[in-house]
Amino acid sequence: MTQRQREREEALDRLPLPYATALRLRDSGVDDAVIARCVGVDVDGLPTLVSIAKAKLAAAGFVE
Amino acid sequence: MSSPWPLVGRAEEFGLVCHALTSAGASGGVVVAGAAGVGKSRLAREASAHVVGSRRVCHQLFASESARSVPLGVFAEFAAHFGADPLRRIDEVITALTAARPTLSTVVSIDDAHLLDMQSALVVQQLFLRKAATVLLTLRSGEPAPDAITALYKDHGVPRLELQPLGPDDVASLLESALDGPVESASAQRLWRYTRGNVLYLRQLLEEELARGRLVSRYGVWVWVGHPEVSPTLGELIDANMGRHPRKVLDVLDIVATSEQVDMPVLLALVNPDAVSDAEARGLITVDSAADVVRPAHPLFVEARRRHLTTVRRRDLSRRLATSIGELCPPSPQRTVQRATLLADSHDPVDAVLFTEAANAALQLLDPALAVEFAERAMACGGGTAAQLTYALTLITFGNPVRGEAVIAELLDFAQTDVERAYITMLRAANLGWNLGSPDRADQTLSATDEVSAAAGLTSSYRALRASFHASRGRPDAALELLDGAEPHDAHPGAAMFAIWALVAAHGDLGDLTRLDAAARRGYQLAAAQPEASHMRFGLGSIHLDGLLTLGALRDASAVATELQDAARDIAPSQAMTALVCGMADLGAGNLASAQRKLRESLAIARDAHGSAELSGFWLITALAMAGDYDGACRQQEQALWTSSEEFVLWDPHRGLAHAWTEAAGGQVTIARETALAAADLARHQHRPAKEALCLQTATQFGDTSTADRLAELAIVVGGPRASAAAAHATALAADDGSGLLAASKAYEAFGDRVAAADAAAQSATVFRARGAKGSALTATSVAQLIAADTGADTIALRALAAPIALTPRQLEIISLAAAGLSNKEIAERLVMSVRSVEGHILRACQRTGIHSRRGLIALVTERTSDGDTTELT
Repeated sequence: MTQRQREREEALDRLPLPYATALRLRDSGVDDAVIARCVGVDVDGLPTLVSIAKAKLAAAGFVE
Repeated sequence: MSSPWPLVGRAEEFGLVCHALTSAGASGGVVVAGAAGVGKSRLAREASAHVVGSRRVCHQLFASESARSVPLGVFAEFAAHFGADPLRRIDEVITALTAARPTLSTVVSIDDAHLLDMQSALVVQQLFLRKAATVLLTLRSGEPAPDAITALYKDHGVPRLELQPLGPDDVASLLESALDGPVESASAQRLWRYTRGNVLYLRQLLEEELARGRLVSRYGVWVWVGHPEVSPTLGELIDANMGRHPRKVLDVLDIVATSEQVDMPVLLALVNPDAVSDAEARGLITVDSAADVVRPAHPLFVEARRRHLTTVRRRDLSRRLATSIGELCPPSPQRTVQRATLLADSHDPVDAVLFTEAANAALQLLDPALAVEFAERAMACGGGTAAQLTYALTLITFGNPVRGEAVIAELLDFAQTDVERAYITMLRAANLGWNLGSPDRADQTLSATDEVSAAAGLTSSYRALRASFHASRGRPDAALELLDGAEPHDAHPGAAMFAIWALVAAHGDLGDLTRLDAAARRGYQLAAAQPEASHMRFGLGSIHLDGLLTLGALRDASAVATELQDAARDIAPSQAMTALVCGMADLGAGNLASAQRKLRESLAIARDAHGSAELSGFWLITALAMAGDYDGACRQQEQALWTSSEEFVLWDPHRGLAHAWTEAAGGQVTIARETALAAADLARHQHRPAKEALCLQTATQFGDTSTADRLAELAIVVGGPRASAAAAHATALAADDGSGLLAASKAYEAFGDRVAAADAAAQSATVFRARGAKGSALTATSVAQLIAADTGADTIALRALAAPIALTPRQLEIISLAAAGLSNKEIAERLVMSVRSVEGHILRACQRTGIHSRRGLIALVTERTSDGDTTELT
């Protein structure tokens, strides 16, 4: 794992679980419908949830 | 409790909603969806208020069940006077709302938009499609909404924000704001777990727990000491959110409410599989496929459901669950505890053997309350010596050693065999020696049964205990000699752990970092492998950490503290110990604010836990004093407990240093040095060279120049980076070597003792300044001030740096004592000099500084404003 990947993982660990889960599943290439189900949201809400997750990741110290 | 609560953890969501409402390129609306109580309405209100601040018009409307029955009910104030034609009414509502303002400059905010009637939903849709206004809607997740509303985000690109419950960190921040003070970490975590970050539940629960006195402030830290009961208000809230469910689904919930966690095979034996699937689909339970267990989706659902269970039903379910668990599941400590808990509730005929087993299992699982409860039940139904022993072990393990001693003494009177007597004596000696701090008495107790210990096969165990008492008496050589360097392999696991405590303490005292760490690792492995030794890992941790900190392995110390924290259960005694060790690690590294907080937390939790409260108390004194909080340190000293006997000296060096640091914080330089030197002398007398080095280092930090020779000797025999860094520090100080002092500062910083690094740098700056080497003085001053700012340290050396150049250290000390309120006579007594000498120092200080009064000198040193008084030099 590179240093940047490590930093991203550490920042993800600081996020509330639904956001961290959504980003990690996206990273793994999981289908949006499956991600929405895992995280417990309507699939129409997933794009905004991911957008918020990225904003929180930046606030946690990791800017993508 | 503050009201309203601040909006915490929603910065990104707030930004998104406000952008959607105000940005020129935005879509014209935003939908905020989420579970009941997650904070949708609050977020919408805050965003609306922000919009109003940007000169937009905002209509805030609230849909409801009652308004739903009336077409355009939510827009009643805008639709009351229009005709019967629905399409015309819709147009006229839109016109009334937007009143010919520029498009999208009006915001229409509707709370609970899923409750809108069809015509109102159509108004919202038309507002959006015609770009007549920007819409902000909140929706409850899982509730059906009108098609016109869902089409906004499904077909027309309106962003749908799924608002999530708060995470643990945000809940902790929110609690601290609401309670206006720090909240103990485990309490914050529990509150998050019970409410799952739902702010509505959290607020309700907090109000109730405050009212019932179960959320209390101790040592400036809020602690939750209760188990939540669902009040009628909270219960109604939860019932309303849970909704209506068919009987078969409620049966599933009743079973999960009875046992909280149910193995899937057990649940399927009691209910129809379809009912389980239905309950899962309704979000009432979660299935952990990996562990094959079922849990409630929300802890508060369980509490609310229990309110509805009749006594007869609960007992019947308890009995059936216990029976099924016994028949279908492989035994484990958790299941033993589970069965015993259920049977206790079922009021079936009691089983003393099961309750004794469950008490031991609860001990292994570090649940003292349950262990005591089961042991008492076992004794009540004739459990005999085994039950009483378990009861005694629970008492002495989890914070009631005095009562434990009474129970054990009684047991001894009734012991029927020599083996029994030897075993009970071993337990008694451990309690006397360690929990009650009387190693001499413990030794005497063992001696009384030496002969029978051999017959009982406990010779090695007795030897292990005796070695630990040597360590507690500050006799590391004797401890190592008795153990021949290693814990006996044929000792009882608990006794073997005491031997390891002895090894770790002894190697720490003698300065052997490698052997100290190796013994500690063996101890943690023993704790992981042997249930009887499991709980002792935390006591081991405190001794291990002390050794690492004393020798200067500060990064290892932090790592050990983190490992222990991860291993701690959600049980007060282990939480108290882990807060203690984390506080110790922080203190060693100079994270003074964090150290104070963790040590206060440890005290707050450990109010009822013997041992850790005493240690936390005097470590907190040091943490406060290092930060210059003399009053705080004195107050803590007044409250500090110390119940151990005089022969229990294991922690004496640190108790001595706590006093020394307090005196230093009060400006009593001479006395602080003497106290630190006295602690060093005592450690030397006990042949504890590592502790002696630490005490001498502290005296050096206080400016004592007599420590160099001895520290040079100790640096040869004591391992780790501290002794050699301290020796270099002392040598440089004695030689007035500014460069040497700066190098010592770097050496301290390299291994992590930042307070010492700040002190050495400050002393370097003082030396350079006295010599007129301004550049070097500036460099050293910057180093000192940087570290001081980062750590919060406020020490003698740092104050000397900040003091006016003209004053000598003695003058500074006398003025500091005067600032503390002492008269010249009292200062003279304190410093063992004549009053005339004190007056002379003050006079010369006035001459040097050009200040004409005692008060003025105090103001100069303490940076208070002088009132220009020219009188009273006494």
